[in-house]
Amino acid sequence: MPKYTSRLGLITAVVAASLVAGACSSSDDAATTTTTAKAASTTIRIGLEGPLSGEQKNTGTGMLQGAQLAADEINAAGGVLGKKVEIVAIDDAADPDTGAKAANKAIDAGLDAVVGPYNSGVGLKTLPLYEKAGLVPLRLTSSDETAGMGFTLQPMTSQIAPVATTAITKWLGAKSVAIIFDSTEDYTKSAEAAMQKELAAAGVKVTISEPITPGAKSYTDAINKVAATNPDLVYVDTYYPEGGLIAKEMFDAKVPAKCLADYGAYDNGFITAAGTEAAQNCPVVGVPAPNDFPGSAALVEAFNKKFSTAPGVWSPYTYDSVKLLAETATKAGGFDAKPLTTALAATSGWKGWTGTVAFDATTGNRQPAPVTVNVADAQGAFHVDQSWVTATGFSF
Amino acid sequence: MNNFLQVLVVGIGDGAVYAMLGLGLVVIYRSTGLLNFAQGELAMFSTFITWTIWEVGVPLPLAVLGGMVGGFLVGALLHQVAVRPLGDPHLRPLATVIVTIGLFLAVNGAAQLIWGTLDKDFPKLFGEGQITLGGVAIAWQKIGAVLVLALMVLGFWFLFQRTKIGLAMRAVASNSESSALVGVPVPRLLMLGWGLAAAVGTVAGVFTAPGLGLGSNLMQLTLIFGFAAITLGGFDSPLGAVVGGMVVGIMTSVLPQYLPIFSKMRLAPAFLLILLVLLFRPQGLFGRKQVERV
Repeated sequence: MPKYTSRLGLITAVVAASLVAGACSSSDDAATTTTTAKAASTTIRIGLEGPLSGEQKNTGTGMLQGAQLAADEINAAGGVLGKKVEIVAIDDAADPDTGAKAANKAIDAGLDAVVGPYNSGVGLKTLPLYEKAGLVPLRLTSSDETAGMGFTLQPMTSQIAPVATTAITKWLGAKSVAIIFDSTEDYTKSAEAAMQKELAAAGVKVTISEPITPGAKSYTDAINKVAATNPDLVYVDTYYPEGGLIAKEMFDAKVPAKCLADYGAYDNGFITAAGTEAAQNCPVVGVPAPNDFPGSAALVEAFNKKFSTAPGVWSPYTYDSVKLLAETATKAGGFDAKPLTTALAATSGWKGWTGTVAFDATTGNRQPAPVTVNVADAQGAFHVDQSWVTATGFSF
Repeated sequence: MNNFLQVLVVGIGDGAVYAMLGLGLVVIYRSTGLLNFAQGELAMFSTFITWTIWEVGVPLPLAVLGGMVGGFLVGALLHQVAVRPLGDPHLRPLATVIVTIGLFLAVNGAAQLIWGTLDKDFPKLFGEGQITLGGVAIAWQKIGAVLVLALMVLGFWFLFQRTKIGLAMRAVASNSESSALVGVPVPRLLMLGWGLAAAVGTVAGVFTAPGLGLGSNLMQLTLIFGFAAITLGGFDSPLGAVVGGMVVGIMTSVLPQYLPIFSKMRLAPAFLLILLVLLFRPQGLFGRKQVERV
């Protein structure tokens, strides 16, 4: 065989590989620098970063709609600092790399503020980008690793795990718990560690902690493994697509253990994935549902009217985030990081859709942050579980 | 005890799939002395062919056979187009390995172009059910995987030990130059090896897809476990692929239960195994030691 033939084959392979790699990446919307329009903009541009595509699209869509409703109301009332508010959708597809590209692109195009992201693993990558660009994020991440990066209205892992543990011990009476957790996501890993710690402190035996990889079509192996340890309860620590599927498969397999899903799975998509009956068999740690908040009826109605759909579970949080940003920026005289941070840290007694808001000035975490246990109703929507309220004496 | 048995059963089921992919790797290694990095992607591609045939209404077992035939043709064609032009792989090992890496990317890209990037639902060949024996749940799909693996091993044994083609393939693996001198059609047998490996890979893909969803990344993780399996069993030993696959499957299922550190590092047991075997017994448990005459 002549030498040039082998070289030709080699070159062909390398070229083919390059072409395929090129084809694979051509669909990626690269973070090309366009223009820094921030100064010249006639609107206040508030980014809304979340999973607007992919498996967690349901979560992102609800987040975006909540932010848009708030912007509409602010604009109807005259805007912020004499300018209209524009919501800029930033789709991270729940993926850190996609998020970083989208965040850079949005920053280059000009942003005054940002709400999001939702996924902690994404936030660990994009929140520093926003801060570096002089923005003060109002994040929806819950991993304690993201504490100190901007502010948040929703609870953090260290606030969630004690509530989940009390629900397990006081409400469900479990003495042994098996955990199924997504071993690829920062949030679910941090929640697993927090639950191990809290359960041990409460004297609850963890029979097994079974890792899973997200995106699978079946988790029967993991369910069989945890069921074989005969736990009183299975704690499902995943995002909602996997959580819903696990709840469904546990229900179908008639696993005798009780089921409780972690906060990461809190989204109406959990009910869709599980089916109503299986979802009712597996309550989810979360926050009060949009229409559970006192005085929320008018907001839910306005949401329904604008989008012809019920609010997502995170819609009230992005709604409040945009409203709080707008009001605080007015007080601070603009969106510059230093005065805005000082003004946000001083927030106390601010009332929104999600209740009364105050922050810990160091971490930017909400204090207190209501955490609830929710169950699906017959119509396929979450509500705070009243038997849990009775057992634990929760009030908000 | 039930817990251990349950974890063991899951591990054996997983191990059967790793062994299937490992068998395909061994077939290529036996004929070329090299690892085929595109083996997993070929398995993924032919599983997509299976899915396409099943989608038009053909019963799944027949669709699997169709996928195996399709996989065989694709594997053979790729050998003729991309590998054969390089010449004897024994003489140009680096170039051949790089081509298999190129094929890894090309086959993955081709699958995305043809079938898109959204995962497809793939049915279980042996149904959704499971039986419970002494408190241990065993899915029919896992029982089926072990039975199919046993059939495959029997088939390979028959091919290599009882047929002229098998004898010729062994001759090529042993000494390709001498084989060519006595009239063995070496390139054609290498093509046959590639086709066979792809056909075997189809079965591994068919057993992996129902759990993970059929997408272009279907076999990438499984391939690593397959490599670990044949590293342990021996690159040139079909029996080694089976034993290695089972050990890797059981290890990756059992270890995280007793050593929590592995529950957050699922690939670690496989990498650790590869490292230890290469350090202390490079030929694996059943492989032949490479001796170079000087």
